[in-house]
Amino acid sequence: MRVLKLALTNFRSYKNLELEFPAGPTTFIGNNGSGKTNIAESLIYLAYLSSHRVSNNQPLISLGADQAIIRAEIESQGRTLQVDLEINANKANRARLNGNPVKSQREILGALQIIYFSPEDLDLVRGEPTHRRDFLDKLLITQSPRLAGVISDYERVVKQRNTLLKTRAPENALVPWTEQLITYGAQLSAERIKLVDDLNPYVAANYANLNEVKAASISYKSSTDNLSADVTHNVEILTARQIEVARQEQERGVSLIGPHRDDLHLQLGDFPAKGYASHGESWSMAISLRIGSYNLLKSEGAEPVLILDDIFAELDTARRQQLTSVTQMAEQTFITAAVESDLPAELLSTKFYVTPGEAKR
Amino acid sequence: MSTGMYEGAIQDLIDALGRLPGIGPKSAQRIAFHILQSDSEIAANLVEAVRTVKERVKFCTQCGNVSEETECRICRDPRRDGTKICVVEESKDVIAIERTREFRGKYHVLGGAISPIDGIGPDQLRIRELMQRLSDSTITEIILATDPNLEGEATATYLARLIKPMGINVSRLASGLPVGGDLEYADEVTLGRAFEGRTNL
Ligand SMILES: [Zn+2]
Repeated sequence: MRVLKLALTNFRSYKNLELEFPAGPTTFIGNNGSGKTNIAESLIYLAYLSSHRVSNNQPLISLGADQAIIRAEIESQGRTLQVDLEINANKANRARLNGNPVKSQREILGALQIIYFSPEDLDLVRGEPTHRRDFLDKLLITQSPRLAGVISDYERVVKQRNTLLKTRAPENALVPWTEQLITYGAQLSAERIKLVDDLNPYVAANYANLNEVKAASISYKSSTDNLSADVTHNVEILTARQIEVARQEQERGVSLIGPHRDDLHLQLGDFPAKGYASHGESWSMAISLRIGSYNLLKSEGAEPVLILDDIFAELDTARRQQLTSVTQMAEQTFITAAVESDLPAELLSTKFYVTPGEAKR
Repeated sequence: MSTGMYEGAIQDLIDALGRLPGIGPKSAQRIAFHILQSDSEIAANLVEAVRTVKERVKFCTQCGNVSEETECRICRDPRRDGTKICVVEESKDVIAIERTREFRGKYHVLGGAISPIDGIGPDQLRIRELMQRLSDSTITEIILATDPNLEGEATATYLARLIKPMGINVSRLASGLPVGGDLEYADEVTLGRAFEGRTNL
């Protein structure tokens, strides 16, 4: 997969930006605040329909503009696809595929598959569980775009149900939401468990490749025991568990079980990575999660685009080398950096120099 | 809500338009200035249409559908099968189902779907009125045709649990409808098929 052209209109600092990219690595070099990360962000938004930096759309739209537009020409398995996305602050985004309007912006998911690295990846190891759940869910959406619907339905059910629990609503009002919490929760749990099982060996191998001594492994830590990759089985278990926690939920006013309470557990040797890993080990783990994700998608026949956003400055030589070797496997990689000399020569074949509002080769 | 940039009447109009569904602050401003700059006849027609709709159109006392009489055209029609009631969220859903010509019974319009985050519970919908209608023993079948999304499903589940103990046959439109959407977006053929293949709850 490869992005042939990218055009941004009123997207953050870019009034109008049109770029063409060759295969292989493309590097954006610019000072902090020059807007190089905005280019990476536009690709990340196209891939997930959400930004990794902000939770609402307003900051993505240039001041004074009504909407931001991202247009990309993407080549995948010999086919070229034109994807246009109009980002709005107060109403639903609108999207087009090959010029044809689609009913829901979600229909463009899958058109661009990416794996991205950013300085915030340290939160995958050191941060709250929400970062790790988001990591798993984004990887699930990349693997199969239809899961975006399951994930957003599940999140909405939790919101609806928590609102009811806070008002101490009677049981007959809760039941319709409890049923849907279990339906979607069973599916999402199953998908995450299968994903973690599949991802684990790749993470372990990448971690070992970084000359780390401890053995790394990952596992799915659920708020409910005995869940599996089998949806029907999960429905039974969650239904039984729901009865057990019903009273506690009424008292506390929140939904206590389901994938919104789960976590991805990271283990290094005899200890959990969180709280025990050194700064260097934490970076090795974070990178292993990302490269492992890339390896997994590749093994399933996908060809994701790599995005390395401001990451090289954070890493030592060994980790830089590991990352550079992954870019050699990828059909296309986008790199951003403030300092050119932080980057290995292999990544400097196509360079754009970024200044506010512009990017020039 | 408003930034209050204009004075007096024009800002009042922008504010009034901005409270309508689907109209953001920028659109409200654009429409307000369009009205201001267009022929007075266009503005007069708009005022007249708004006034008339509020005067003339009411909600059917039986089913809650929009109607210019106390009872709507469907409730008044003696050829409609009074033993079957199809429950929908909005009047526009009645139109969508009527287009399929699959259903010859009567309707009940709830006026929305259960959605706690929007402050809409059973009491905010015409559910009490539905239960009153069901106390009439001639009704033998209820078809739940709420939207195929989370709120529509929750409303259907809530109603099914309420109605089934009364010994009335309750069914739900078959799957195959575009999930997550509105009933009105389904084309006639899909909606008709969903009606035929409805499943008993
Ligand atoms: Zn009526």
